[in-house]
Amino acid sequence: MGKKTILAVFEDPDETLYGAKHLMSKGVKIREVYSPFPIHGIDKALGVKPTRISTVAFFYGVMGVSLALLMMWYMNVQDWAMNIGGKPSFSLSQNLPAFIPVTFEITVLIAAHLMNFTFLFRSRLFPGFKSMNPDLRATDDKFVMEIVLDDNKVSADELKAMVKETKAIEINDAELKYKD
Amino acid sequence: MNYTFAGKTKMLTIALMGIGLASIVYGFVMTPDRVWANLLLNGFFFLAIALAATFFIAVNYVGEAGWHSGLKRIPEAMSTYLPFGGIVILALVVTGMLGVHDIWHWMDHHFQETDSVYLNSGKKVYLTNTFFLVRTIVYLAGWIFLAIQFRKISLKEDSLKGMSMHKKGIVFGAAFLVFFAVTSSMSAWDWLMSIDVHWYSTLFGWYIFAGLFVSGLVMMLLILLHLKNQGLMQWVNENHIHDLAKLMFAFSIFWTYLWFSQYMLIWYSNIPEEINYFLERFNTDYRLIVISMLIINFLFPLLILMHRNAKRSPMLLSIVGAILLVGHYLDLFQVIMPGAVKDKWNIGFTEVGMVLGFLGLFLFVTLSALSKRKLLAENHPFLNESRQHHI
Repeated sequence: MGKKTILAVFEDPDETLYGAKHLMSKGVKIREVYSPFPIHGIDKALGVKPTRISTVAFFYGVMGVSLALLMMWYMNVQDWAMNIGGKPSFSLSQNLPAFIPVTFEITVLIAAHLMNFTFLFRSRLFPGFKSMNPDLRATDDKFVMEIVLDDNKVSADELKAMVKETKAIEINDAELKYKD
Repeated sequence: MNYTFAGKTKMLTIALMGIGLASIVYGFVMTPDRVWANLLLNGFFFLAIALAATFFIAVNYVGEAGWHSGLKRIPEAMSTYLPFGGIVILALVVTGMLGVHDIWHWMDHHFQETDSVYLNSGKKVYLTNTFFLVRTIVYLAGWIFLAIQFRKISLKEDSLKGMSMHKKGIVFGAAFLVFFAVTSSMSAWDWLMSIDVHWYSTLFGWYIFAGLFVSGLVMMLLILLHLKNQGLMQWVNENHIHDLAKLMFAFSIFWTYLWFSQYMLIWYSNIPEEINYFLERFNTDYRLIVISMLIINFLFPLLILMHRNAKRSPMLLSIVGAILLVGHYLDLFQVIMPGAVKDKWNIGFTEVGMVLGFLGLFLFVTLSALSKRKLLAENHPFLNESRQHHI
């Protein structure tokens, strides 16, 4: 069903990183590395594009500020005018200091949650997505490198020979779990 | 390779000091009150920058941090300015006690005998002339003593391998942090908050500290960029700069948080003895200074420094840094001036000349201290961590 892949299993995060760098320097394209925890520098080694989540987060933050102010303007100024701190000015701008703490909290709440959802969605971890992990040990104590044969122009044997130059403890044949 | 402090840079700092001296003389002839207030402003501002550098060394010793060890000679050099800034403050306290100026107008005997707020609060015990002088001497002596220890330890480490000097540094670092935790707040109450003698705010010390740390980090970064511009300190790369910029960004936000917390509580409760402080600042010409320093110190770094690439670009950081220094100068300006000179304030030759003069003095002291040592603390036990620092 899926494309043919080679799985290189590593025991150590540093060895995985060195292995990835070694393979990349030989021109091998690595599709994905599965690891129980983030490996520092692996994204650069694999040539992954920098994340754009921080840009998105900024706009989520702007959205949070606007929503919070809109909500409090409606509740405390428009719908039910409040006398805030003995200052019955009934205007959002003049009572702004009182609204800032809530605005801050709602900004953090909205930005954090939406970032989380965005991240889960983009990395196909959201509930409902099929698991892509080719080797379940990568959720425990092993580090698995997935190399798709079609991504590379060399034969499977040549690829395996190159993978053998790294400190991989196992080299397995497998198939992609999702449609490419 | 060592840094040589000579040529154009040296001439520039001397020229700046010349401008400062001229502006002090000019100011004493025209408006002596403003000179005294500006002496306190600049004296404290640059003392605070040197203090922030000492704090930076101490906190990194205690945290056993490694990333900063490649650039640690810069804060060490900055801390040598402490005695100079200290002398300015001490001289102001002594002249204040002699009645030469009235920045701290509670020092007047008539005030101490008649002012009802002063007499009916703990201030009559805390704010007395002798106790004030003693406190000032204790703060300055403590800071200078510990800063000298850090310099000594670092110099000894150059010829001594192993952990012994580093462990000594941790002990002195912890001592500094404990001492500074108390004295940073207290010195801010004494030198700055007591200008508005009827007013008080428990948050004030931390608010001043946050601004102080931002200014110190900015100065550290600017000196670092100056050195890198000359082809020195190549072991410090954009990862270290990124970390310094992150601290700058974070403490700018922290400063805003403290400024706002103080403002909001006072605005909300609206008690006459507290709100008066903000009425003096918002309902007068000072409003322009307050609003502009809020924009410079909060909105500006928030929007500019948020992006990762901005924190790694030396060109942008030097511009942002210079503007942030102006912002924190204006912050102290609106802390000191409304109480010290009231509505007779201005930003003229006296103000600009004196800040340039003090900047010249600060850079002269710092850069000549920097040129006397190796730029790399070669035997720092965590130096390898700093070399490999990567974010």
